[in-house]
Amino acid sequence: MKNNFSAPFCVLVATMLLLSCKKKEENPQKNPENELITTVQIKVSDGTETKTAQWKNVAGYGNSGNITIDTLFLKQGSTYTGEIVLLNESNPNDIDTISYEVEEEAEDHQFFYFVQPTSLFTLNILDKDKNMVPIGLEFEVKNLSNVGTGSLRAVLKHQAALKPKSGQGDFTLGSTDVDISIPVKIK
Amino acid sequence: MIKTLYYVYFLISFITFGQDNCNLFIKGEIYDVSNQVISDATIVIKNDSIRTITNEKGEYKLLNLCAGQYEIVVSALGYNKITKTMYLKHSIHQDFVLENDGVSLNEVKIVSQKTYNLTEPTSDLKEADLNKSRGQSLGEILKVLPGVNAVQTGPSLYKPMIHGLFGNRIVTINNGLRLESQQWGSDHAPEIDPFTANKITVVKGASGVKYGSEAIGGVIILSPEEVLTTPGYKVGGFVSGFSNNNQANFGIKTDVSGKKIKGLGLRLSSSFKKGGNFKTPNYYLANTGSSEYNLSTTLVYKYKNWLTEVYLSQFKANIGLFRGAQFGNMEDLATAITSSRPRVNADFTYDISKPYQEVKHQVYKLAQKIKIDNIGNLELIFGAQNNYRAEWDIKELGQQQDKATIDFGLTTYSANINFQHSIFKGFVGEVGTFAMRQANVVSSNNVRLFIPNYRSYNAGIFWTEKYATTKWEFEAGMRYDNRYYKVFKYDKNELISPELRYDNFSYSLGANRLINKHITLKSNIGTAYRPPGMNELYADGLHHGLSSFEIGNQNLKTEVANNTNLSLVALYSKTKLELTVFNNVINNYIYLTPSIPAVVTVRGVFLSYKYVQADIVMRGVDLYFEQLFTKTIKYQLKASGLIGKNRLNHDYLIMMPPNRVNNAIDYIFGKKGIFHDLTFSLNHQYVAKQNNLPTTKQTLEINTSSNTVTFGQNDDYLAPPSGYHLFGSSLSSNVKIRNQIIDFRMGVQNVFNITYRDYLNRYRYFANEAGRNFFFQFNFNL
Repeated sequence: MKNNFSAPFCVLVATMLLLSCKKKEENPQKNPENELITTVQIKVSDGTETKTAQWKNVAGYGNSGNITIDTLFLKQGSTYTGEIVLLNESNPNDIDTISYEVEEEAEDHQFFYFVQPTSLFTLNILDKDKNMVPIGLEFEVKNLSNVGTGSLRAVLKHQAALKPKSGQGDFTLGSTDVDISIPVKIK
Repeated sequence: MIKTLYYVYFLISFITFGQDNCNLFIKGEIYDVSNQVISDATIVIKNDSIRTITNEKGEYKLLNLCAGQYEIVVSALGYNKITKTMYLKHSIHQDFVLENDGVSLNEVKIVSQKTYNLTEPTSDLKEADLNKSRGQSLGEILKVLPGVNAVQTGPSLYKPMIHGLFGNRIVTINNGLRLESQQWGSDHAPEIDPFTANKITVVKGASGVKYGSEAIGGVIILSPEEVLTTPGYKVGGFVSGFSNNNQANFGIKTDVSGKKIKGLGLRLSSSFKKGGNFKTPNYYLANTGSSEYNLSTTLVYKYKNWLTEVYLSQFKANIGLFRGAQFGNMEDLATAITSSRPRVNADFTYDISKPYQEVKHQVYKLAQKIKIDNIGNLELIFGAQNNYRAEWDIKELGQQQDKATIDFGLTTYSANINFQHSIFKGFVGEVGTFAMRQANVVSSNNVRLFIPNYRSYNAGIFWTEKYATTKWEFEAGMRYDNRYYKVFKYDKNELISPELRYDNFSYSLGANRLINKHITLKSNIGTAYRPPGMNELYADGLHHGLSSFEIGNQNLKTEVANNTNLSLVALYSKTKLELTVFNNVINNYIYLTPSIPAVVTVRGVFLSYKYVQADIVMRGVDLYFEQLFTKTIKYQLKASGLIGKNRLNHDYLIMMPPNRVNNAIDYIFGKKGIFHDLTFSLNHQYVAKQNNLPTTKQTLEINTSSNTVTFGQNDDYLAPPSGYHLFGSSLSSNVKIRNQIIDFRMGVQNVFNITYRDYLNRYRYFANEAGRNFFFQFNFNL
């Protein structure tokens, strides 16, 4: 009975040695040339006119990139509704809208906005996930009472399984998927 | 003529350190002065029923000896008896020459002494030591040895560190094959089931000659017990448990050999491990559970001087990574570092979720040993290894569902031919050659690859010789290696395949001076080299663990280590002392250094690191001391200290092990009722704060919502943690039921539930170490 053991083992070892000639390593995978999010668009509308300002880097990865940032121009006294759109524009023929994934995984994600100086305007998040915790893809901008300049910082936190199930969310949890600032000018 | 009796007596009862390894042997031949073999000579061990006589070829064999000191007296009818004291640490080949009765002085004449005594400093863990650590991982087990530490990634991933070097700078040999896996990653633990070994030897210091490239820091050698090839069966196993993470371990090993086919033996070995979240004194560490399944089988066939071995093994593990150490940019890192407890709350669970590592390692080995009388031993080993590693991070935006973030497949085929020649004019030696083919295939889920695909060929040849007299042992060796890499990667849209060639010569010299029967002085000079790793050459991406970009450097040169060791070994009946000092000079030592300014991306700010080289030196001392005060009280001390410095600017190196001291006191009750060797142990460990740090070059300030954090002090994220004292205790014994021995142990680690952090834990920035841990272990042999 024991004699029968050795034959299959030897066959197995021999097969393993013969299989050595598959050269899978010669077909490497391409590295993504950019971050998976290349573009962050802030779109605002006062009902008659839509304005878009974007943060964009399609020129490379890490510190080899070339970042272009638009200024968001707003009108004193107006009220806007807005949205944030995340794109992967690495391939101009196949632009991927990454923010759809945020919508699908709303219970794992949340946008946080910071206005600098805080007196510049008020930003309120309008959309909520199924636990009634803000998502931040849609918002309103109001109280533009004075002319001035400042910045709007948008931070997207990825909080898989950590995002609170109630309340207004917690900025200190999870990892950061987006953290950009764009200049704002109120005329 | 009077037939002389041959006395061999047990000089000293090595209760304390003699009984660990009891499968050693002494064998050899007995000649007369005219070089004729003497048959029917008897070799006996007094107070021990071991006795044997030489066969018609003058050969003898003393089997199943424990490590310890023996005095051997040999004589034969018509010859003078001779006496030799030897400390048996390894199995040895010992020939004797007997002079004709009444003709000469009654002195020892040794034709040759084939020892496996190495001139490098080594430390062993034998079966008895390994029984104490069943259920722990390799890196955790080896930490008990002086000069050996572990680089940790959380509570369950341990990477062995020898004299301050780890990862790609250490070679691990398991059952005769070099472990080939993705050892460049500091969170990649060795894919080895320590249960398959009944002895682990750590060679400290550069040992490139015998073990090839990369053995700059040292070598870990795991050897299994010989498979049973005489009719019968053997079953051994263990059960152990740890309370901190509710970890359960189980292992069983069976040897069978039948009567029908003589010399055929089969072993099946299997072990299993499952643990949940670890708990620090104040909180659980989220997602730190792990599970592991191992299976191996060995088939051995012994026929006359031929021995064939087929070995198959599989290691499989899923290891959860601490959720509180997963984050995006530097601000997340700053938040994690400054919060007093992890931002991720957890309870106990066995469930492992993302992020986790999925690891599989398969080994196929075919070995043939041939003993050629009076010429030597020939050994051929063919190996195939398949290493698969998948890292499952939390899915990011833009990535596919259900695909590992990155996975690596490393396939290695190797062939070794070694020939150990028999004693020739007092020399014993070995020549060997080996060839290896390796291919690495990496794929990712839309993240940058850390290392490229490559294929490599490696060939080498070595020669070592040893010469021994009664007072001296000399050793010399040299080796030549050639390594070729062909890399396959995309540069933008173009497939490029750069070729790299390395060839290196290494040598070693050593001498042991046997000052008297108790004291040996060992000295050794060894060299080793390491070609730059693929990550060091080609990394260009985000290292998720530490929020940093790593930038490879294609101009890196080969690291070369030149290591000098000096050891003093003193063995007395109640005292054992081993003192080693070492000086390891490494040229072109490769390390990461932060480069400022930080990288700004859509995800915020990141620190960037680049690979650079420097000429360094690592100096240190290891001490082991054991004293039996009375028959019941044994004291043990282990201490190690090390300094690593850049030789050019005298700056300290980062991530060097802090100085440490271990004390243990055993109270030996002896036999109490059915309990044999009942022993109560208390142990204490002190790890000092690492105060030798690189100078601060550049700093980076990051604002979080509540704090401003300065990175880059001493080239690090956070100052080293304070020193700490840990206490533990255990009660051990064994019971004999018929012929079965059950060895058991229970105890507690970190008795006082001390809150501490360890400098060598890569997660020390985010969380405390595990707290109090009760454990039990049962080892059985049927």
